Amino acid sequence: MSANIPTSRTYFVNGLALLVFLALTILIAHVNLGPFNTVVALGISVAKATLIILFFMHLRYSKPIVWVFAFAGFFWLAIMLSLALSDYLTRGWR
Amino acid sequence: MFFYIYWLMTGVHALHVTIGVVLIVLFALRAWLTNAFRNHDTPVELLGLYWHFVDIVWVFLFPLIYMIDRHS
Repeated sequence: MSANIPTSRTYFVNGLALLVFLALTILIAHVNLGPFNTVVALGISVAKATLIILFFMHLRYSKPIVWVFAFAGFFWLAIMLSLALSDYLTRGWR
Repeated sequence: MFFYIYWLMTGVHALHVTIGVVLIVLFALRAWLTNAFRNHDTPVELLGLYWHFVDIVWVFLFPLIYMIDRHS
């Protein structure tokens, strides 16, 4: 699948970065940012997911065609989630 | 409503994690006892992809169910 495999050091550094992001998530959750608490928490989650996909899932070391399929998968997931949340997201909007 | 979604999400996630742990133990035993998975086999890659998919789910679930409304 992937021709050049990263070293265990890459995985260790990536895991450490994820732990730093986790600490950041917990710290920021205790600060009142109004409606932006959710936005910031989900923003950090997107950053963490990007790290996992790029390094743990080897996307960084894969061919462009694999990027296309990975993006298509998550784009489809986004469509499904926004359809599932369509009622909740439009409740206060008459 | 929150606890309906809470139990559903954590329950399905627990099922995924259990499947992942069982498969990883089986793969580890096979790699330890036999010569399978010598040259970065596709099954190992796929199990890795599955495990990190479960990982990504928790990355989003954890802040959404445990960190929302934590502030005073």
